[in-house]
Order: sequence, then C-alpha cells, then structure tokens
Amino acid sequence: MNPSLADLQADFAAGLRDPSPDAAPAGFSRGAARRFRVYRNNVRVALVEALGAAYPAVLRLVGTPFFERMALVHASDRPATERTLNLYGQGFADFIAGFAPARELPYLADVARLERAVLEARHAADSAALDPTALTALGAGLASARLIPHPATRLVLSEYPIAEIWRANTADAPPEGEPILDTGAGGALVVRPALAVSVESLAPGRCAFAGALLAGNDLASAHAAVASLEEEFDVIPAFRDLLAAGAFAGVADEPGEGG
Amino acid sequence: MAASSGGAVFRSGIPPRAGVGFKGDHAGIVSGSRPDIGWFEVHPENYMVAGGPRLAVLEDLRDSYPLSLHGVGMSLGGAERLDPNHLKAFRGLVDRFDPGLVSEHIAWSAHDGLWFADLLPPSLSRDGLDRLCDNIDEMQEALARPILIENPANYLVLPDREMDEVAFIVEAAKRTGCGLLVDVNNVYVSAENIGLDAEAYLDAIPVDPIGEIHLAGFTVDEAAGERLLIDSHGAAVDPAVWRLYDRLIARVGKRPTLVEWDKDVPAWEVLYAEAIEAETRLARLSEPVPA
Repeated sequence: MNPSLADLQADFAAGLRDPSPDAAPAGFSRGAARRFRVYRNNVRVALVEALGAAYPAVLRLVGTPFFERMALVHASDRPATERTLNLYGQGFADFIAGFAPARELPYLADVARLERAVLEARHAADSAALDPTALTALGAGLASARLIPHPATRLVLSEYPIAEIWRANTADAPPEGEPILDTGAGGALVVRPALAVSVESLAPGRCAFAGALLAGNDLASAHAAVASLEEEFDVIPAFRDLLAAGAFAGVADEPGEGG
Repeated sequence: MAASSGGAVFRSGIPPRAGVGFKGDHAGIVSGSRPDIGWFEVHPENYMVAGGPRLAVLEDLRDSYPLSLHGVGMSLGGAERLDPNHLKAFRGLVDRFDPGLVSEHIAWSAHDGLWFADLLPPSLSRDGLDRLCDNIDEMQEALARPILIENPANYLVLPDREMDEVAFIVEAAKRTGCGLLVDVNNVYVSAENIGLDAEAYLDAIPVDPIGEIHLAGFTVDEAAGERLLIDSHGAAVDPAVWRLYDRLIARVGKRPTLVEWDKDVPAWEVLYAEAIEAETRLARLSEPVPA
C-alpha cells in the first residue's frame, strides 16, 4: 500500500528539516534514502547562499566558514515562508545579536541591520523623491508640515560608527584591518531616490532629527526634540541634506488648502 | 507508447532560436552592446519585488528581446493547492512584461507554509497526476494563457511510482492543454542517476506539444561513494547532452532552445558561445543534405 500523496510529501518535508544525518522519509529504499541527502543539502545551501548574498559585509567580517555555520543555524530555525528568497533573512540581525559565538564582534548585529536596510531599500517601491522647491510654497506652514518618507528610506541607529564599518567591508573596499571604533555612536541613513541605494553616516543629533521626521513628526517638533538634546544642533543644513538625499516622497497634510 | 499521439500543437511566442538564462552579472554588457541572441529567460520569483533596479533591468531587457518567464516556485507537483499570493504575484509579472512563454516545473517545492527553494521529486502516481493537472489548470486559468511544463532532474525513485515519467508528463499535457518544455540535461542526468534510457525517453515525447528545449551543464558528485550527476547549472553543456539535443531536434524540428547557467556564472562571452553552439545546431537542420 503506497502512502498518499499528501503523506509522502509531509514525510519528505519533515526529512528535509531533520538535522540527523541519516534522516529519510519512510518507505524509501536504502539507495533512495542516501540520495535524499541531495535534496536536503540543496535546501540548506539555497538558504545559506541567500543569506550570504543579502549580508555580504557580515560574511566578510566573520569569514565564510563561520558565516556558513551561523547562517545554517538561523536557516534551520527560520525556513523560508515566501516563494522567493529576495527578502529572506528578516530576523538575521536579531539572531546574530543573540548568537554567542559572534559576541567578539559586538557591532556585527548592527552591520546586519544596516545590510537588511540596504536590501529592503533596493527592492522597495519606486517613487519620485520630494522636490525641495515644492516646500517653498508652504511658506510659514513649513514648520507644521509632516513629510512622507520615501518607500526606500531606512534609518539604522547604532552605538558604533556603523556606516563606516559597513563601508570598509563592502566588495569595493580595500582589505584593511579593523575599522576604527572610537569615532563613537552613529546612525546610517539608507536612501534610494532612483535606482541606486546609497548609505550615509549621520551624527547622533541628525539621527534623532531624521528619526523624528521619518516617524511622522512635523518639522517644528522634530527640531524641538533634537534641540532639547543638543543645544548646538543646526537644523537647516540637517534638513537640507535629508531633502537632497531623497529621504522623502511628499508632504503629508498641506496646510492652507487650495488643491 | 507512440511518439505521435497526444497533445495539441503548442504555439510559442518565442522564435525558434537559441536564448540564455539572464543573469544580473551580464546586465551591463547586454544593455550596452545588445548582442544578437534570440531571447532571454528569467525566473519570475527573482522579480517579485515592489520596485527598484531589478525590475528596471527587466524592463530594459524586454524592450529589446523576446522574454520567457520560467517559474521555480509554483509547486505544481505539490499535494497542496497553489498559493494564491504567489499566483497573484506571477500574474502581475505576466501582465507587466507580456512574456512570449511561461513555464513551470512538475516538481513540488512547498509544504505547510514553508518553501524549500528546491525542485522536489513529483509523485508519478495516478493521484500525483490528478493533482498536477488540477494545479496546471488553476495556473493556466489564473494567467489566462497556456504554460509549458518541464521534466525534472531525478536523483531517486519515489516509492509511489506507478507510471513512466514520459507517459505521466504527456498525459498531463493532453488533459490540460499545456505544452512541454523538454530539459535534455535533466533527461541525461536522470538516465544516469536512476537508470533510464535517455534516447528512448526523448523519442517517446510527441512532437506537437514541445514548445521549448532546455540545455545546461551538470556536475559529478562522488561524495556519497557513488557517482551521482547533479543538475547544477554550473558548467558547460556536456557533449553527451549535445548529442541528445541533436537527436531530439532532428526529429521534432526547430524549437526555442535555452542554455541555463546559474551557478559559477561565467563571463558573458562563454555563455554566449554556448548559445551560438545551439543556434548552429538549429541552423544545420534547414541545410540541404549534401548529395
């Protein structure tokens, strides 16, 4: 009596996720059981390779053997649920933060957060960036304007100079030593106003300001929030740079009506 | 079974020339120099994103070349119903890019909310055939067009096998009106791995439903103490596969032929040379026989 189609596939699927080396579905001949490993290996390799493609700086920081061991643990816990691996690995940064063997690189999880932001930015919906000249029409209403984030914009906060660490470990970077970590905390702004993703490092004050604006606060309250933390904060260049980077797609609720 | 029986004539929207699987590494040279090649094929799953550079590159490709969408994630051979979200995403790409061909595998790849990102072996049973046909019907209805189904690379024989793979696939095409994508490398790999006669397999496929042919390279795995051919898409087409291809096209005539190279992707020139090789063999078919 043959197993039903559903039972056979359920058994096969369970075997794919079984970590024991001899795992094979019931009813398989010895030869078929041996060859079952080809499929199980393919599934593992696909997920590990997808993580390697999405987190190249993490891979470069820890080296291929370490990365593959770490990625395999994560892939076993978090198999793919979508029919594409384009955005696979969403929880990888949090996993790294709790992965004991990676503790020697305390900034590794933040590098992963930044790489995740880059990946999401790359595949985000297309939109034109807000044209800064459109803001002049708001006049005094600018202070109470709330801006709509561009769909690709991401902000990553860190206790480390995360954009610099990431940049030193991208494919184009020369193979130098460890990045200097004493430049202090910093954030990274990830934008993709057209087709190319760009990453800029932001000082803490600018991070807080960008974070407040991206969270939907109006310009005046975003400024006030940062000014209370940092007396010297210069809002005009900070705002101008965010606009020039293409971090926003539009203005949320234009005061003064008319159109 | 007789090779002539079964399956309607499949009308391909791709010219009967050689094409290659499009790789991101080749985007620059393809958009810059517009090489003379019949068509390109992509995995639609890689383009299931909201926006960004991948879709822009595909738009550019579609403007200059016929395009084929070759799915790897529908899980047509699965015991479960098709995933409505995936079907919708697939339909979105078909509507946007209007490909000349749409194809899928008879493999399965999903179970209970998980996707395995691999082509798992379909059950060659009566139940398996019924389920496959229902799934093909649903996909063709959702896309409002006929698809091609591809034969798998086999590493083992499932315990529920009740019929030959050719008979299984041909019957599915007959029942659903879909066409066939004959992967010659998969036939060769399967023949070596599970002991089939590759020539007899190819000879048994009826002419009319064949809408596309795939060629690719395999790698040899001897890690488990036996020689196993892996459908790796990571090498040049093997001479034995070229011979099988010649035999197939001599019988069925010119068909759009794709060279796949997905792992250790070589320089464009290397892949292009493989396409030229296929094109040369297609062109030879129409040459008069020397007196």
